[in-house]
Amino acid sequence: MSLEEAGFSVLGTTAVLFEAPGPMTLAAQRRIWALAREAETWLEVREAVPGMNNLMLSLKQPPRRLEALQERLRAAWAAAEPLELEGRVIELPVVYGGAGGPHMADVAAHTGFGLDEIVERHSAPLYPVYALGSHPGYCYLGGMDPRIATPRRKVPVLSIPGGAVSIGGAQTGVSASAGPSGWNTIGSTDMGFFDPMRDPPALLQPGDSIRFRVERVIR
Amino acid sequence: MIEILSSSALATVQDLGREGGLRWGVGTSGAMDPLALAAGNLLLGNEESAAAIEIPVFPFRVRFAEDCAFAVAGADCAATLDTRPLMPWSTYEARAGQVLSLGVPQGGAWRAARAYLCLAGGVDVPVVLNSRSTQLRGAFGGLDGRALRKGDTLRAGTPGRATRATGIGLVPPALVLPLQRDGCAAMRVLPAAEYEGYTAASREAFWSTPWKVTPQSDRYGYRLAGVALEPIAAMEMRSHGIVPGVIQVPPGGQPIVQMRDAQPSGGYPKLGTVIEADLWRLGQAPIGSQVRFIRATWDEAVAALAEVRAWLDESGRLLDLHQGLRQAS
Amino acid sequence: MDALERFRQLAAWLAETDIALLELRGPQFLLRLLRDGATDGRTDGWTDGSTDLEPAPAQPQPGTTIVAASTVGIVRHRHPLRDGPLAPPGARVERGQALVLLQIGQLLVQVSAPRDATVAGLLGQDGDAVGYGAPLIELRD
Repeated sequence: MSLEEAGFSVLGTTAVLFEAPGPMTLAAQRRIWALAREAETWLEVREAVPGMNNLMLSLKQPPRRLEALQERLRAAWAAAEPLELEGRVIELPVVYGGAGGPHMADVAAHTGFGLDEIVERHSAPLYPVYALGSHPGYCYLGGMDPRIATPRRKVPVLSIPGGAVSIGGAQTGVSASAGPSGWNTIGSTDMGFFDPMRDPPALLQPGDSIRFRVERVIR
Repeated sequence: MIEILSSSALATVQDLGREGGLRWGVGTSGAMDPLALAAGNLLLGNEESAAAIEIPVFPFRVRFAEDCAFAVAGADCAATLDTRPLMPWSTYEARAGQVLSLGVPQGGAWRAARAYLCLAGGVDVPVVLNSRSTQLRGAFGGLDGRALRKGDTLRAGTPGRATRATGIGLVPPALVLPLQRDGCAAMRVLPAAEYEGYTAASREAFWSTPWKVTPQSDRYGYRLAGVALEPIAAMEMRSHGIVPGVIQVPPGGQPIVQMRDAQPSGGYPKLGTVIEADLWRLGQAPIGSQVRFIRATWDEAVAALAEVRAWLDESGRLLDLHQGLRQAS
Repeated sequence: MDALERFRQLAAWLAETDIALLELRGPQFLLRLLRDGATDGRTDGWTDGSTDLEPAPAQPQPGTTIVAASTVGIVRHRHPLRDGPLAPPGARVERGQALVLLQIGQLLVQVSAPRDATVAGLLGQDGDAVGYGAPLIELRD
């Protein structure tokens, strides 16, 4: 896929993947949201699922002619205007460091920053929710300060709890439930992100934003 | 109603999967062998998608607290009802107090890993987000969002004396729609976006060499062992949606096939996707067995889906015809 | 359901399967359905209009039971997933246990032991096409 061209590929006969060209930006993500909204009206599409500047279309049944779907996506992308979603800002109280942030030292070692600087840089931005995925209620966030980026761990942790606030590469996120992770956990929150009995079941959706509020810093 | 007599069986309640939840990070879950689950249901006159119990570890035993028709499909696990040996892929009537025992699958004409216990009217657990499948990560669906434990009880949708003829079975799809390469179970694969990013030698090895199902293989993913697959250059991926069947290659070069409980999104490069029509074959491949991948075209993959659909429709039709004739007697 | 309607249903069902010849016999009748183009290799001595019926199936010896086909189908002495025969001579079987399977297309209909017994012998060959009432297996108490 060249930088100018969007990517189109299949995921078996169950889904197709559209990848927006160029650098990853919030503006491109807004166009992905618009594309998702349009594609969800198409007969063969069960769900249009945004990723990080990409879109997966889960299909009710495979189209006889794949080229037609590809062309339709290309045209819809060209026509997509950035969707200005009126999202909410959800504030998450975070306890940084301590037992809930077992990898804070690794982030400090990699970035060269002290604990307070890491906390300050992590809690400063407003993080837009780009997409949901990974596990129920989990949000992919944009907007992290690149200076605190820390590579994913060589050996993933078998289980980090729900509410774990972590840094993986240039991204940050909060686990919504216990599970394995290769990211660096620097703190914890006890906000609930998913309740299957609620409608909608996820707390957040694309267009919302998260702000991390410093509840406590454990040295 | 049935009572689970076995512990640590990793058994879960599944149906054909939960659709529509990807937007919230909720994957499909559902049976690793959806054909077996659907066939067991058809034998009982249930909706194809009725919930059943997926059993990956044996032996497994349940006691029927009341009369109930049931079917066991999937792996041939030398099932017995009290002491009476049962046929695989067949429907029977249990009387209250009888114990159904499923033994370790012995092999024979088809080595398979998972059995499905279907009950008349389906396994009656609440529908959560459009499905009765167990969502293990989110801890909801199925029975309380977890694997079954000794002492658990499950209700059947329509217990009581059987209203349809029992002692009826189906020839399994593994025999009717066989797919093998060099004695190994085989699955068709459609190349994925990063396919061309692998060396020619790696791509050739992917199609022409066997892959061993390692013990780290489960409902989340099948970790395969074989030739180390090398990218031409390191590929940095953005997180994107994936589906069961996607074959990811993490650093280290050993492929992982995402299965029913996989994360609905991923960040590793993808070599290909096992086609939907063949995923049941992989879901039934036992730990330690070897599998082969066959390159398919889009048209072949779509035709394979139609073939599976036709097998189910034919089975349903013959079963209904047989019932109609029996009722006329 | 009257006999004609039943016959129609049977014919429709037969058309769905691979079975070329269907033979039904009862105490008062013998009915044979032959698919177009199929032959059964038998001489048609009985179609000369005589009212002679086929002789009744051999009566079992005292203490033995003959289990007959409950439906049409192709005789299978073993399940296609398994290697061994379902009911080898000399085997003890339980009431309700499968003795023989009758295959109709993708269906496998179980012919079961009416009571606990010992298998005396199989009647007929694996692969035979049989109709209702065809003797399949002899059991000894």
